[in-house]
Amino acid sequence: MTPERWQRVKELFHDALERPADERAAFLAETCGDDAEARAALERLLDAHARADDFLETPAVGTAIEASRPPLTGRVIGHYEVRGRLGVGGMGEVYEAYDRRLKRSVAIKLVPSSDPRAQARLWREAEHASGLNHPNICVVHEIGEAEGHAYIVMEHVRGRPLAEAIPEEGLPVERALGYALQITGALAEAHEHGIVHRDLKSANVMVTPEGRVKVLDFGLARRLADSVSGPPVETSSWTMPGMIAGTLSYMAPEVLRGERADARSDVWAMGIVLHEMLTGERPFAGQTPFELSSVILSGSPRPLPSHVPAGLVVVIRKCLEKDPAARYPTAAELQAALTAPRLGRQSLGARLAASLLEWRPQGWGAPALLMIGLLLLAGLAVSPRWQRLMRLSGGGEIQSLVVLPLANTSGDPAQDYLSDGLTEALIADLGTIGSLRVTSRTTAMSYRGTNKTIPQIGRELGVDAVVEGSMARESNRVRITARLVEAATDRQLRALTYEGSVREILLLKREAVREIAGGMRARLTPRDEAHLNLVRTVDPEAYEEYLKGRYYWSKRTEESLRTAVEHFEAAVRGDPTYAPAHAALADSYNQLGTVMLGSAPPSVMRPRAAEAAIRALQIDSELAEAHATLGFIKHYDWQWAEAERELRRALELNPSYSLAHIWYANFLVCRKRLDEAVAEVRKAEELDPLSMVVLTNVGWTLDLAGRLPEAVEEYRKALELDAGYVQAHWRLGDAYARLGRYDEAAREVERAVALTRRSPSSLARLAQMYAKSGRRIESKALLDELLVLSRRQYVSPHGISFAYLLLGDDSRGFEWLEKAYAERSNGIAYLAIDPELVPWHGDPRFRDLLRRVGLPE
Amino acid sequence: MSAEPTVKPQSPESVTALLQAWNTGDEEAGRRLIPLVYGELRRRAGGYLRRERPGHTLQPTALVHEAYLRMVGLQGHWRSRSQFFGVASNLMRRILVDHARRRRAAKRDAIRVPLNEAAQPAVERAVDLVRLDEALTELSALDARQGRVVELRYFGGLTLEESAEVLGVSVPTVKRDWMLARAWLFDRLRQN
Repeated sequence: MTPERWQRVKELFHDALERPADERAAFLAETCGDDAEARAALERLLDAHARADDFLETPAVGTAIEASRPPLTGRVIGHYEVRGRLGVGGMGEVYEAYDRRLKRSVAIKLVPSSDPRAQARLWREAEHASGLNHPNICVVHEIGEAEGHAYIVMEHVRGRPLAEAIPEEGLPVERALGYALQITGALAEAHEHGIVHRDLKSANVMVTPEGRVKVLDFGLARRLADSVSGPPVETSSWTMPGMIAGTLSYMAPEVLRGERADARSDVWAMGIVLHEMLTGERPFAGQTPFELSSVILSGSPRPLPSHVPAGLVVVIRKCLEKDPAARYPTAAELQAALTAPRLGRQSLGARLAASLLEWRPQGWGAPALLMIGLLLLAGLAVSPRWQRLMRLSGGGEIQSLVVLPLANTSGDPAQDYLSDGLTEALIADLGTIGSLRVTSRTTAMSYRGTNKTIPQIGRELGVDAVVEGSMARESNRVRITARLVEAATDRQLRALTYEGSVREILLLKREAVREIAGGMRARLTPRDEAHLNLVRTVDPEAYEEYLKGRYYWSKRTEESLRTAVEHFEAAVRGDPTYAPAHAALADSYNQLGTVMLGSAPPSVMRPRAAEAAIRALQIDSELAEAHATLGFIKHYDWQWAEAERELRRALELNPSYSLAHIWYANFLVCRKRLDEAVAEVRKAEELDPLSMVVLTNVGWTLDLAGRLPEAVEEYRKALELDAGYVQAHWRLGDAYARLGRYDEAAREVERAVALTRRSPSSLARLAQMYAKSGRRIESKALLDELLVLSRRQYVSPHGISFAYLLLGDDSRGFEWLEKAYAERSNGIAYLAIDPELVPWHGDPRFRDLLRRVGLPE
Repeated sequence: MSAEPTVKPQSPESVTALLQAWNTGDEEAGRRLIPLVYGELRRRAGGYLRRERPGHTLQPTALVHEAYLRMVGLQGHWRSRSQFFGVASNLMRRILVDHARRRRAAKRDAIRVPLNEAAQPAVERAVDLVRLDEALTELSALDARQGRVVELRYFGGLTLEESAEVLGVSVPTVKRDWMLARAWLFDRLRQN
């Protein structure tokens, strides 16, 4: 067949298939015309298609293995008559058999004796299982070898595998707990004898019609001690492929990573089985083994439905901790946790009543569902067992913490803004608790999806505690889970789960803050209390807009800031009484008006920002963000005293607000209070060590304080975090130029130009850099380009004036500097301290400007 | 096949590095990679076929994925992963077809068929892999991508989505290729 004809056949084949079968002949006759060969080929192919059935649908390897199973039914092995196949177990096939001597039905597991390794495993299984005597462990009767087979004869458990006993929607909580207690009992017996099951799964657990559970297949079990002395090569060669193929869904992360399985790996598997029993599905899923392993290693389990009691949710979560050290150390402990009171053992009503006696939540107006969630939590908190779990191991008070990004487990990346927004809101609210240092947003966000352990994170950030959790949203329902963990010991101090409508999200957040604060035993001042109790109800759409806005705001590019403005504007339109949205809007206007972004004149943006900030304060006079923003505005409006007052007020209200420290440092620099400025940026750095904005500002403050080499270090650190951060390239370029390293300096600024796709601000910066390094022609060319641009769009006059000055054109330089003064460019506030301007310090025009701005000479 | 390639256990890094180098056009890296992957797959597949592995039901898609997990781990870049799957599927084809060919030869030569062997309704009863391989070579000459789709799906055990990723085409395209290729091969094999 020619390629042309094949092309045609291909197209017609699919076209024909789209038609009903009885029209195809006519279709072929019409389309093929007199091309008989094509028509014949198509007819054959369509017929083949109809008959192919499942041809090739099972991949070759699968078929090969299926086909290589010898039929054993009907054979007699020893004194056992082999009957129907019961299933494929840990390492061999299991048949029902009839014991001719004892005249009873048994189960017999067979492996061919040609396979010495499989045989060895069978012996081991028998040895392990026969050493265990427990009503929930399948009894081993005999081990033998006959007719070319090694076999193990076991109690024939009538019933069906647990896997088949779980209905699609899951088992009732009571029943699931009943099974779980029996399974953990069996495991506890094994662990007691130093035996790890290693292959626990719902298919390895039999359930009799009476509800008795039997755990099968200690086939992969090993003695705990073996794992030290056993030959590791042999181990991996026989466990890996089978394990991965068969029981990946139940494999603990450490086992997947190739580490040794121990009792805690069984605890993990039990967590999976629990989840499976309660919901009918396993907590981790993937389309392929690859995907599944990834999810097990780093993903969050699927959230449990709301009918699962909160206490049980916590138990399962603890079983499914990625770090084995955070799980129950043995099945016995897990079993004890499962028998704890109030764990699905009482009716909901009884639980509510009991809780009410001991716990009186605020906000009775909260909707019923939320209340139920909270009360369940309260029930959890009053149980003595839980109180024991939550006790601080060291007895110390938590003074600092980090909120790790809440994982978005909705399975919908479009909800990231919601999980990020909630994380940020938690950070902001916890930061207002006076005695507490809370790691700032950017740094916290950099731990997204981290594999680091909690103690590791604690050490890196120098915090006492870590909050981590997840958020899932389904249409208008939101579910938040969070845990407070003591960093040094990895001990969970408190765990919470909230569920409610999106409308209630602020209530959920507030309760989460309160709960975390309670878990830390942080002292809440009356002001903290009052602030937390200030229930802000907000229109849900407006709040969503706000969160979307924050998401874009944090990206800090011109484009993202403009998008952020749109969302914040929509938020304040939707709910004009939501103060944080006004404050955020003000911040966005402010950032758009900086010399750095230079996308709009500050004379336009700043009044808008001021209006929004003041509106925010009218609604909530204690909103730290709004005070900081107002301080920023006053600073660049040269209202020095007011600026300082606002910035300090902001830091009083939220000492963990790193941006306020930065802005205050910027202010102090302008006032030439350099030591204080360095102290402020250091505080910001402590709060937010992984923020390129913070690091760049640390660098710049050191730079202006004359500590150039240290400054360079900070800029480099910022660029290590984010090589695309324009401001750090600028600053580093300037620093290199002052060190006389002009080539490197120019490269940095050129990089900034490329990154901003030749934004006017960066072009101005490059013109200045070329002027400084003696590349006057290039500098002038860029300046001309900017002047042309400035007729069409806004170009910051500050940048142009500096370019002129550095090129030696003082009169034009000062002319443009006056323009910058007139629009109150942010750069004007730095006149007195800017090292570039030192040569003009004696110039009367410069001194006059300083005086008008109110700057120290 | 002559002597089996001798394969020392490879650290995931080196396989990852080879994949990356190959990705950037280093042909030598590709040449060095193939025997490694081949050895790994062969050991795995062979173990299954000789029933030396624990008797878990093998999920058909597992073998290549397992090999990938073992050789590259979870850190691999998706491009490397696609490339690996692509290569591995081709190698699986060679392994399974060789296996079938040897078995066929053994049957012809054997005077007495051992019990074990006779009891084995081997894979070639369902699909004659040797003939399928020949037909597939013909199909590839006619339509190279369809040949690849069969290799990936049938020999590699990849899903439609994974095959689409490897080939850099859409899932519906793979589906259409698969449908026609299957019909073509079925027609070819039933002819004699």
